[in-house]
Amino acid sequence: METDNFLKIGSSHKVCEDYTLVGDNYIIISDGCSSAKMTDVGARILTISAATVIKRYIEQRFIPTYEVFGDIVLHTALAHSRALNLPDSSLYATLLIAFHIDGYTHVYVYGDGHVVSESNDGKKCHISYEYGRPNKPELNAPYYLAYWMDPKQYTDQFGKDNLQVYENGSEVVPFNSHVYDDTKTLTLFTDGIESFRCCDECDLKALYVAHELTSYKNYKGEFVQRRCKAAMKYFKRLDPAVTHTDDIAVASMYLGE
Amino acid sequence: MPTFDNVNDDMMVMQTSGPGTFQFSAVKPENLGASEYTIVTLAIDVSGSTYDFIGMVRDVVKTVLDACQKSPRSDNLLFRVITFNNNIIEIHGFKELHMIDINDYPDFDATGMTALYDAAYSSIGAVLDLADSLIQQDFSANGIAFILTDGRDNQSTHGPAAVKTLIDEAAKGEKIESMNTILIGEMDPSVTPADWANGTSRYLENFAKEAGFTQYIDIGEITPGKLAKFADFVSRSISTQSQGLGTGAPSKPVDLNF
Repeated sequence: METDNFLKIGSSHKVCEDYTLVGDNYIIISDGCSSAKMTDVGARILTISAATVIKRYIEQRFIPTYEVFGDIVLHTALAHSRALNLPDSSLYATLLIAFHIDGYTHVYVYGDGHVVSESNDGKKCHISYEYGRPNKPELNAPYYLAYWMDPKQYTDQFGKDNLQVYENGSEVVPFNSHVYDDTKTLTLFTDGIESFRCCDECDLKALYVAHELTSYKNYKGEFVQRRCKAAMKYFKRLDPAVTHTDDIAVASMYLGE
Repeated sequence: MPTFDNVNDDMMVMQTSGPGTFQFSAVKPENLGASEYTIVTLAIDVSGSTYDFIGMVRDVVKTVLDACQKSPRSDNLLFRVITFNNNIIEIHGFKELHMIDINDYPDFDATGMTALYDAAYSSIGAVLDLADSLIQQDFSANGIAFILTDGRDNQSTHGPAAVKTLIDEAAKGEKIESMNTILIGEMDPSVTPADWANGTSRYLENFAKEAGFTQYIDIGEITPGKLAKFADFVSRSISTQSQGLGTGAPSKPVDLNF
């Protein structure tokens, strides 16, 4: 198995609030909330906490449930963020993780983002996770893992049940965890892939961007870095004015054929 | 023709494109882990007139490799070493530094004539073609080629115009992000310094200008001190070019004064 990741700051940000880590059997991405303070640090604490927790489970070959995993990661992250005197809101960040145990790849999604899998026969499946506010579903308001600290308060404000899931662009019954088998590659994206702008009147759609970023030519070493850098150059050739306003984190695992 | 004694399953054999092709070997792209590479060629003249100092030149190659292996950019270099006289001999093809054992280098056998233009053509052409192949596979690549000689060409099938065609192609930035080409003249000990400066060195300088080389360096009379400076120059030039990956432009040439 090979894993690799890629991180790029968005044109409208001074600090990159996305983060990503990969290990032998897992990949993780996180996207900090732009309107909360110190979420660039919080996203990193959340990611490292998730990596620490999942490594223990992988060693024991034990699969935690979505709820148990989220709970342990949150409490691990809170212990570290509070030790640094950071506000709890610094953990307002999404968290997406994929881990591989005994032939199956488990994906847990806390917040919004995208998951693209490619099967051994070359078919791609793009799952998009989106949230809106209860009274304004068109606005981006992910239900962060950190909201589990006070579920009643945050559910009232931010609509935990407002998750919308799309498979290859078509809405499906919402879910926030999934198990994959017969997968050649599995790639996680933060919602920064939705922020590509060419000019005032046109954008690069997330489905297209994700397809280009997952058209890997090879799978050794820095294979995600290579593909993402080459794709960015390609987008620039299509339109020199193209830019992405939001940070982008990409992490992928290659499970072989 | 090059020998390929050290081509194994990790390596592939390619041919330079264009008329009068040369073969070269390189590590297969699917075995490469980094996202970007500086592709380096050292071409060493081993014609008969280099007999008196060829051992020192071999030590320079080893010094350069040693320095590059210690560089923070060592994982992003692909190195090829060739010698040339009547023929072009590939000591080893393009390999990552950790695949190269300096102690495996054979003694350079100084004999024969000087196929300078062919060596330049093969060196630059191989860098270009490998870069093109890597870029097709999503890698970023730039290049640098050093051609070290003590004499005029008297054996090649190609001429300066063919070398210029390759250097011009490199400058377009389609096959390779950028390329530096450096011709180095080392004085044949059988001639006087004045004959060297007004004769062969001027010839080499004119060749470098005609073909469009980035730099011509005149080492003059070979001494251990000068070769040590030269080895440092080569290492720094490689390091600077490697740091320039992603900028789209060749690195600024490194100065060398004796």
